[in-house]
Amino acid sequence: MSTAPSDAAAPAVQTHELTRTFGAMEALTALNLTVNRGDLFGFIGSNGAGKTTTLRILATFLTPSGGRAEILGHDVVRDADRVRHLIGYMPDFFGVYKDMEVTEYLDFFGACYKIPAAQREKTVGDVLELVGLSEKKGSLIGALSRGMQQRLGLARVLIHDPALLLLDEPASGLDPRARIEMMAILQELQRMGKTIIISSHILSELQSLCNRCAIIERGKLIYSGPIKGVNAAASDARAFWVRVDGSPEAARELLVQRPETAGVEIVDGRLKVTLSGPDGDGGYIADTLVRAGTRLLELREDEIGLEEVFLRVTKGETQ
Amino acid sequence: MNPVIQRELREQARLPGLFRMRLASAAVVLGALGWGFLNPADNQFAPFGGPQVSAGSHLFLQIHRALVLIIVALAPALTADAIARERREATLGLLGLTPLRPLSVALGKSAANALRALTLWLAPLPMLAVPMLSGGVSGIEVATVISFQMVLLCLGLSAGLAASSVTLQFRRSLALAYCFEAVGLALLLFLSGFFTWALFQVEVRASPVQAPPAAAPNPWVLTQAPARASPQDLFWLVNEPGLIFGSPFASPYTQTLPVVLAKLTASRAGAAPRSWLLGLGAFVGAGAVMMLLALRFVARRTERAWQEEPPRPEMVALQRRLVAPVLLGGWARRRQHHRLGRNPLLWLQHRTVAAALTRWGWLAVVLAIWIFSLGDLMFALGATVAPLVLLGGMVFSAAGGFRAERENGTLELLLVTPLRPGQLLQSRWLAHLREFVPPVLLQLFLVAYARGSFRRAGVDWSGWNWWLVSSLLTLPWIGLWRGLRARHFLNAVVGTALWGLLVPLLLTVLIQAALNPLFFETPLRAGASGMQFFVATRLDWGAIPAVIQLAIATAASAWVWRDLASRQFALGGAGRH
Repeated sequence: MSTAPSDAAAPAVQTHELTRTFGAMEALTALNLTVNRGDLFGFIGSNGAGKTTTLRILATFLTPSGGRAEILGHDVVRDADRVRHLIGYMPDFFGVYKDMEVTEYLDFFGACYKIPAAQREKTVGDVLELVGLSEKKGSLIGALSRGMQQRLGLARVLIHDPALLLLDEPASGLDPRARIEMMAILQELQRMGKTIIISSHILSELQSLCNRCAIIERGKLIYSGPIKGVNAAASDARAFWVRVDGSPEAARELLVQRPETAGVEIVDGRLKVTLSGPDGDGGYIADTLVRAGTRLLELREDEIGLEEVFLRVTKGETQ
Repeated sequence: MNPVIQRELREQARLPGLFRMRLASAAVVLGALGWGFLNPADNQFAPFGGPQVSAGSHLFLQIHRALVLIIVALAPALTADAIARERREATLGLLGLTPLRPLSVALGKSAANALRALTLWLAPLPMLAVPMLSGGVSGIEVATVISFQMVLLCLGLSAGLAASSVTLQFRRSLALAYCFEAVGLALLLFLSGFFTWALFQVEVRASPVQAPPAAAPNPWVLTQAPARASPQDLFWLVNEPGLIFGSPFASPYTQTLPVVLAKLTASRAGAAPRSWLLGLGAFVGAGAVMMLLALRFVARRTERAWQEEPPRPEMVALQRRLVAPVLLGGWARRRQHHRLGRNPLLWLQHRTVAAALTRWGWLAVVLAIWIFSLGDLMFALGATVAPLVLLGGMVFSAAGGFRAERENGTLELLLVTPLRPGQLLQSRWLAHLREFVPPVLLQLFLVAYARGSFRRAGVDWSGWNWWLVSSLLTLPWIGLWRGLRARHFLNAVVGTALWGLLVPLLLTVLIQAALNPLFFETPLRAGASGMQFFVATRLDWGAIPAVIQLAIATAASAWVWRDLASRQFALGGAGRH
């Protein structure tokens, strides 16, 4: 299986001032987004924030009202035919013929992608194995569980070996085991070199799964970058948790005297040290305490979860 | 009030399509009335003792025909998706969790749709004033006709509801609904005839209507009825082909049961109110019994469907056995594989047993109509009814082109594959041709076979052939255009029928009238009968609407191509913006 040739230097996805309106409603407003090749990119936003609209524009299903979007260097409007070979789009609904067999369904979409008949059979077997549906290949789709239909949707997306996967809520409605399995498949696909954009509401999973993410609200981009950096975007200042062997009050007295410290509070016998700026370095904390002869038991940065970040940076507004 | 009725009525109130359907219904009746004005009443049997048909009665007949056509065509379609849609959208199970009983759901669905159908029936009703003011329409006639139409309406709605409780897919449900309707109608007529005979032992007397010597022999006209009517006689009497589209008093060849009884037991029509009332009561009673049975059936099916279950293993095994080739399996599989690779969408349309059955089913329908018409030496029936049935089938098939794909969301998936809009459309067109070319060819062959008889009768049916062939080629494009624009299937059907059939016909009449100022006047002045008028004004009526159809289809194909290319269409079911 090979990835289709494209502009080698171009990022997987790049949008410039991408805008889309539906009548008077502006679903996307001047969205500038870059997704690098090989990224597992989380696309986060409330319902109606513009995630699905963005994915549908990237999938060539919607034309933008303004701006432009490129997939691996190809414009999604001017070069739509080429783009369709490069992407695999999985919408937030199944899109299945329930009276078809699993292999028939994949065979059909394989033929739609003009995969030669001799190659289709092997490809269908390969993608079924990848998503763990080999045992169900003779089953009717209507008889499959929701999780299996979701996997079948993923298999359909992979049938033509696209370089970029656009997955809209791929884990919605799945039970915990199916979700974990789905995430494992996505990680495997990333290892295989695919770029994956995944829109999801299950932020805790995205945090552990994705290397980069974007947060969108009311059609506007609020954050785009590494998932590690999302804390800084959400916080005005960095904070560290400190546990010492001895009196926490004494440790607090030592730390509040330092100019780098904005504040110290004691919570359940631990100290929460807030630095005076977002770019502050917490190294001075250990230095100060050790120099004073205090035994340091724990020093870690206060990392807020993606869910907390999301709640802080968005206002919960929908369109 | 039943909450199901409330919900259905609220939903219907938000549908602009219903308003358009009412307009279309009124337009059809208006067209029929216009046709009645242009075609004077056929009084050719009056000199031989047949009843003199008044102008009012003649116009009343035209309205009746149009209304019956609307009821027969639309009533099953209105309810054919009622239960099936609830099951597809998994809302039937939610209703099952409430204290509502299955019968309440069935009653609610049928009552709400009955109201909807009633509005379609009421929309053209003011036009009844024209025949009433023209005179000659008796109260008995009005009551009989309205009763007949109401029974037919209830029958159609029940048939649709019953079909919708059997299958999940709308197209299957619709086909089944029409089958149920046909069987129900035959059963209704037989039952009402049988019960009337059994209960009242009607004695047959000589009919006042004397068949003209020159008329085509018909073994079932009243003059040849036996002295005592057996159930079989009654069955045949009320099953005259003219029954459904006939008005009771407008022609000696058209009977409804109450009128048959009135004619059988009295010297003049309308002079036996008791017999008429008994006949009417039996007819309506039989209809009511059938409706109750249908509701009971739907309630049972609904109760079973509260909880969705996967297909039973034995059904899956049977389906596989039916699909699997018996001979040359390897060759057949390779051929299927080849077809899939060559045109996946065409393969998609024809891969199921149901698709093959549909193709053969159309052939069977045409054959059945011709066997019936040849048996009764009524070639006109085969030459007109068979094309009408085929045209109806084409309209439904064309309007439902991408319906399944839109409902299950696969249209969106297909549009992000490298398939071009032209390929999608061409595949649907080819699928349509594959479905309808065999029955159309059979129809043309049968018309050619019977042509000698028609020529002797001075009637040429080539217009119908033109019309059929041009519709075969053009309706798919018009249907796809309307189907993608309309959110609801019935609106798509009405739109397809309007643009594909009615507009070309209307424009044809206007063009002919514009080209020939004596178009209407000449035959009317000559006192031509309806049939003579039709022949005189026919000219090349088949070719003109064919050209208009072609023009509309060309524009429609460009529009539908543009809609698909820009992904602009009304999304239904899973797809959304």
